[in-house]
Amino acid sequence: MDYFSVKHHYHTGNYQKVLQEIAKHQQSSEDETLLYYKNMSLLGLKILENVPEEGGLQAAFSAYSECLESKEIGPLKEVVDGQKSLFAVNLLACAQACLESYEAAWETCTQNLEDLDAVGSAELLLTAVQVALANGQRTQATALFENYSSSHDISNEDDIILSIAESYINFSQSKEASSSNFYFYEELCQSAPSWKTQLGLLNLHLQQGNLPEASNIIELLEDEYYQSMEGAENYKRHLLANKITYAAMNGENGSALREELEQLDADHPLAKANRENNMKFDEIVAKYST
Amino acid sequence: MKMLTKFESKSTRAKAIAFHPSRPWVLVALFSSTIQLWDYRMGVLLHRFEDHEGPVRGVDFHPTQPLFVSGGDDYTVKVWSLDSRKCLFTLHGHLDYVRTVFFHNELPWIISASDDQTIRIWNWQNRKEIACLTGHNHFVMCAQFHPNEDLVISASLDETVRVWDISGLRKRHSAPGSQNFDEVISQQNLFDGGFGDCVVKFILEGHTRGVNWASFHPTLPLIVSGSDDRQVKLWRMSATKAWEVDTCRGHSNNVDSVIFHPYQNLIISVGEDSTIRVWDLDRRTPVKQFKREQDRFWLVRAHPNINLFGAAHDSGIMIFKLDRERPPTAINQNQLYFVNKEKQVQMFDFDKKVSSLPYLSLKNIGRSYNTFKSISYNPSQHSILVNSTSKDGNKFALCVLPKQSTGAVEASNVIEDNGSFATFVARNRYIVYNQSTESIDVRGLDNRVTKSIKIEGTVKDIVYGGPGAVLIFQPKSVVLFDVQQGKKVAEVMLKNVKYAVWSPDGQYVALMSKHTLTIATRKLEITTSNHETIRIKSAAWDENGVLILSTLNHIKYCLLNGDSGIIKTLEKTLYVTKAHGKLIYALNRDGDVEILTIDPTEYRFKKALVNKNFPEVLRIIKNSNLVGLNIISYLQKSGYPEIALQFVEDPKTRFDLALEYGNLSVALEEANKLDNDAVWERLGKEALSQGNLNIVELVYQNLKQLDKLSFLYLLKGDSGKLSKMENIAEQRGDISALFLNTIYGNSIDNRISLFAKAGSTPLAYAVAVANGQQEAAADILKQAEVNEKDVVLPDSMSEAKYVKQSVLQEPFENWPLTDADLSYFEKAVLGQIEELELEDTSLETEAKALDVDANAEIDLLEDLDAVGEEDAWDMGDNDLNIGDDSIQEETAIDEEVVTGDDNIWVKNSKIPAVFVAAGAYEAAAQALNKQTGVVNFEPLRSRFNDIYEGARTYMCGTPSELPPITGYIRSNVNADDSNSLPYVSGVNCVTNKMNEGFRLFKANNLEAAVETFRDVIYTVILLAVDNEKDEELARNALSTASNYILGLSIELERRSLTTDNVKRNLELASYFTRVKLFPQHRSNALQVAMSQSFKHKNFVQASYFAGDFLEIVTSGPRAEQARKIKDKADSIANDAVELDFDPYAEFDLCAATHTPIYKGSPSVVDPLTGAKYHISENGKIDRIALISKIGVPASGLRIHV
Repeated sequence: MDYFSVKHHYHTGNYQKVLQEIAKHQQSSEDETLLYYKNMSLLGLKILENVPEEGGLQAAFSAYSECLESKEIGPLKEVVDGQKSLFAVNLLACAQACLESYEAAWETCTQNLEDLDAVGSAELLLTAVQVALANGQRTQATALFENYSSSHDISNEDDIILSIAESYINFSQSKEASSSNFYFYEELCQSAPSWKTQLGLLNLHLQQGNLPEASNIIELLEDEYYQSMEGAENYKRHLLANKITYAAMNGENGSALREELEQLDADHPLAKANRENNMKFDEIVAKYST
Repeated sequence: MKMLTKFESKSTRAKAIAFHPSRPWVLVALFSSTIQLWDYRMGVLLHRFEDHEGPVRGVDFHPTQPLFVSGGDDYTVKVWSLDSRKCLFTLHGHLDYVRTVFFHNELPWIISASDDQTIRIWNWQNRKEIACLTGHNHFVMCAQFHPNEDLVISASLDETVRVWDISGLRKRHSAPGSQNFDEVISQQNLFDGGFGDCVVKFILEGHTRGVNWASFHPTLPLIVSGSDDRQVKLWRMSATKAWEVDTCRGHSNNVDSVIFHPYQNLIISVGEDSTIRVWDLDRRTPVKQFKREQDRFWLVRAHPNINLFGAAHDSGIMIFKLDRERPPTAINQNQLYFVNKEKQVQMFDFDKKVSSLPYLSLKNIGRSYNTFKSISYNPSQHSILVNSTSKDGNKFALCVLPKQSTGAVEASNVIEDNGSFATFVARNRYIVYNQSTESIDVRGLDNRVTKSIKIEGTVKDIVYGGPGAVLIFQPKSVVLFDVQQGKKVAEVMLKNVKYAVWSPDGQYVALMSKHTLTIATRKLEITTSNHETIRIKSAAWDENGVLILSTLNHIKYCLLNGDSGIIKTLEKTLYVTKAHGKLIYALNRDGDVEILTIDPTEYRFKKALVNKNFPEVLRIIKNSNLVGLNIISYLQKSGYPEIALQFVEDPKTRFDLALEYGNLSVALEEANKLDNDAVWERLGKEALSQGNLNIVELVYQNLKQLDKLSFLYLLKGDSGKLSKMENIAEQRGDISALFLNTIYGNSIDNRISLFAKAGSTPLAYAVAVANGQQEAAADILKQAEVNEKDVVLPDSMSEAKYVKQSVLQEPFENWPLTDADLSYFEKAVLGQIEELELEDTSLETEAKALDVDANAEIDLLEDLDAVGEEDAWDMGDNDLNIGDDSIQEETAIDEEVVTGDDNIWVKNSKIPAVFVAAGAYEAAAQALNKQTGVVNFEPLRSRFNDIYEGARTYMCGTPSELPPITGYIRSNVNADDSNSLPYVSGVNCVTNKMNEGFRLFKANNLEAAVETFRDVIYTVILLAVDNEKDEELARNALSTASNYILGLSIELERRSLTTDNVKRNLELASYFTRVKLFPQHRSNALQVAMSQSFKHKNFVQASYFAGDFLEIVTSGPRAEQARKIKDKADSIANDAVELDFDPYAEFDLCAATHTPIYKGSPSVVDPLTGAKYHISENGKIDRIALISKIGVPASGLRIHV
């Protein structure tokens, strides 16, 4: 089966379309890829229901979903340990990354990426790249990506995954910000507008210092159409973080927005950095006031 | 397209012309047999060459040698020397008129065409004819070599054009070694052997009458010909054939000459219909035609190297160019926008010294052959206005430039309209002059007219005149016109001004006509006006306020006092766009930016001298090799002989200079060395005028002017020396000198004896009797054997009474003079100046304060344009009963080194803002502490966090629950790692905040205004700027914000006082007026002080403040009120409350206590804000910004990355 549409819709953040696409095919639930994308889309829409009696990948999803709530990785690990599916492994790595166990997540990914042709390897690569970047290991992320893309014929359906992985690497290294990376997101916003692609383009505008354009996207995402879109809740914290950046770049005070983000997602790297910075600043204030 | 005539000569019929390849010379061959040599730049006839008999029809300069060739109706070809200006030799051979002569580009050959139906090629080195090309069967009217191939083209009245292959000739003559005996023999027999060398390659038939001219295209295989059939024909040739391409019809009489434009796709033809016609080479359509009323044109020629053409006609020649070559430019901060030769808009970055790719192609704008007249740039819209002129009416176009320069894309969304001189006057407004209604339209960016203002008189051009204003060039005057108010602000009578360049601070404008440069103030008051012999082309102000201008062939400077000089000679004309330090940025006529290095020492020296900046003068003297008679005479002329003296060793020059400024000791020293009468004479005269009698005495002694010496002693009352002089005279037997000395010394005896010895016994007797010397008189009578009775003496004879005894005990010495202070230079030379730094600490740093960006200034002051009632506070006064220091090395950042861009940034710059953006807060704090004494960091918390967060952005992961990816925001998105720096919100932010502060000030919301100005300071100290202009702007903002906080704090304290505290109230009101505020705002302070003083019966002070107020606000109800207060206060003229405020005293205000710190009182300064404090405040927190510690040592804020 050609998974192109499914993967494309998922990675551009159009989860409803993923579900519609999968529904069209009436494929058996044994198709791991479809199951993975279906469940990931449901997760993205926050409508994934746990089916505890099921085994395999479905069980992994249940455990993953619970892990995100409870921050307990043990049960998920148990479920995934016995499985060969790279999708299940991917869920484990994602959970580890969400819990900031970056080293463990990196290990989970790289240990299972030996067979580059295995189903789910592109998705796992994408996770591995993100884990490395989140851990500040830009070189490893680049090396892994280049190794994968040079030693493996990228199928048409995985092209979007690799492109996203590459865009993350470029983004973190401030590369191609005004050229290919920017055009990638701009094109996605045209062909597959969604919260995810709009936020991607917003980030690229910010990276280029295009404040009026950034402001337009912020306005767009705050508009009713996007606000009422299914899955919008997942992205609001990201928009808030971008708004803080935008305000700071404009020379405006972002204190109120920072507090809002702190309420909404205290684990967001911006919120965490802000707390750390404030602690550093407290020390400075104390040091010089004496 | 426009024909711009550059030179015209008047003479009898001119048949041919030739341009010198490098000098501004043109040869004119006249029908009268003369050849003229003109300097067309200066308009001077340099020489007349007379040797031909009869008309001269062809001339040509040699491309490299000082030679030219001519041919005429005397059948001869003559070669002339430009050095000796004589005919070197004559080539005989032609049997009829010679029509044209040309040199070969590289070989020593001349080609001539003649009515004898032949073309001949001559070797001018051995003076021999080397080929004779026969074939035409009528007069050959023209023959020329191909510019780079072995071809010849000829045109004949036999109605054909022929192309000849002369490669055989080259072979024979270029490689003599390869010649065999037969060839040598045949070369000697030219008539027989020459045929094989030059063969007809093509015969072009098509003209129906005789062909007068044919030319090769300089680069393409094209030929153009002109004929008596009134047609211009274009031909193409290949290796094997040639064919007619097209015909250009239009001439109404014989076409006599036709050429290709050297680099444009144009054909230029001239004919006996008195026209010069320009044709499109690609379409063969007429482009333009210029007509002389009477004169038939005989020849047209292009300059071999520059864009000039010459045409010979019945009454002389004209030299012209087609269209202007000045690339239109507009400057915005450190960027130059210009239109290149391909009609593409490019930008040159003065900081990076690189040109961008083209932004836009303007090929579809205006008419294709017309260049643009001018452009105007709008930074806020990133757009340009393009002005083009044509006979049918002027047009303009508003084109928005793409954000990035990616290549010459076609301009889209262009607004095009009729109108002249379109110029931006504000970020969203531009003006357009409407010729038909004789008015200026003010238009919005949508081209809608918002206002129309009628302008009287002819308008030649309109250019930017500062914010909201334009300069209108009229035929006899320049008008500064305020577009906002719709009124004339100033006018200066100047003729034909063509260009204006504003100084960076907007205080001066250079107005340029063809030959006159005038510098005027902002109010158009002329400060200097210079005439230039050579045409002025462009000008730019350097960062020190020196005008750098270019003429056709020089780069020059001009100071505000009119002093000017040549800096550099140019080979090609350049248009100066910016001058900074030793670099001059100029555009050449190809539309490329050239950067010239100049030596600015001379004009900096002169400027320092004019400004009496003597340390700078001395530094330049010590560090440069600025010597020469030129500078000495300049110093002498400028009234600085004592400085000139520092340069000179020659005793004569030193003597002259010393005498000029009355330095007798140096003059005496040099006179001793020179020791000649003329020198002593001059020294004596000067010494006498200064009353230096000792030197005068010495001079007279040296010159042996004993009579003068005696008289000097008489004046001094030096009787001792007078008697010595008497003795000397006696010894020398100088009777007249002795007599004089006896008079001066009143020596009666000696005089009697002198007369007696000299045989004047009666005189001796008379003197003796008159002075009561009876014994001596008797002796004389006795010796003369005369009886006393026989002597008749005059009745009135008596003792001389004019002789008085000197009242001086001692002889008079030198006339007492007050010692003059030593000049700065003399002190410096004598080592009397302490801490004199003469090392060359780079001249670049001089007076950067002038270098304020005009646009930035507009932004900062946009709310301050007008002083009006709306600026006034509601005072509730209506009830008045009136009538780089490197601290980074020590900064600890190790603990904060992180991955990503952060550590790259820190590596690339170590200013506080970069530390903050990189998350190295502690390092930033240390830097701020050391640089500006900041100790209270809490107010900066938010700014720190904003900078950190403004340099990062977070992209959501896949799936979205994964941690976001962190991206870094660089100040320049395209920078690579080696020079990447974080994005830090820039000076725009500062400007916005300043304007917000001004708005709050105006709205009388003083607490909020103080907070806003404080925020400005917090923003500035954590800025990262990459150019000096922004830095200057930021530092100015810091200083202005500090002043406003001080002023507003004083006013807030005053407002918080209880009503009974009148004295303090009045003092604070008075102090508020002393704070440096913009006049618009100071008027509020003055109004407060005036009203309060009046209210509390301090009339003298009220009057003083009212006077100051009226200097700022001259009309309106507030002024009216001030006048009334002043009148009333003046009539009472006393103060009820004694204040600690003297309006005439110099004092600073303590920012803590708001009390005066008088001159000489001890004070301390805050290292950040520069606020002054009483010494008692030392070590406390600064009251202006609330973050720094008063009086601590600090190295100074660094914000330049």
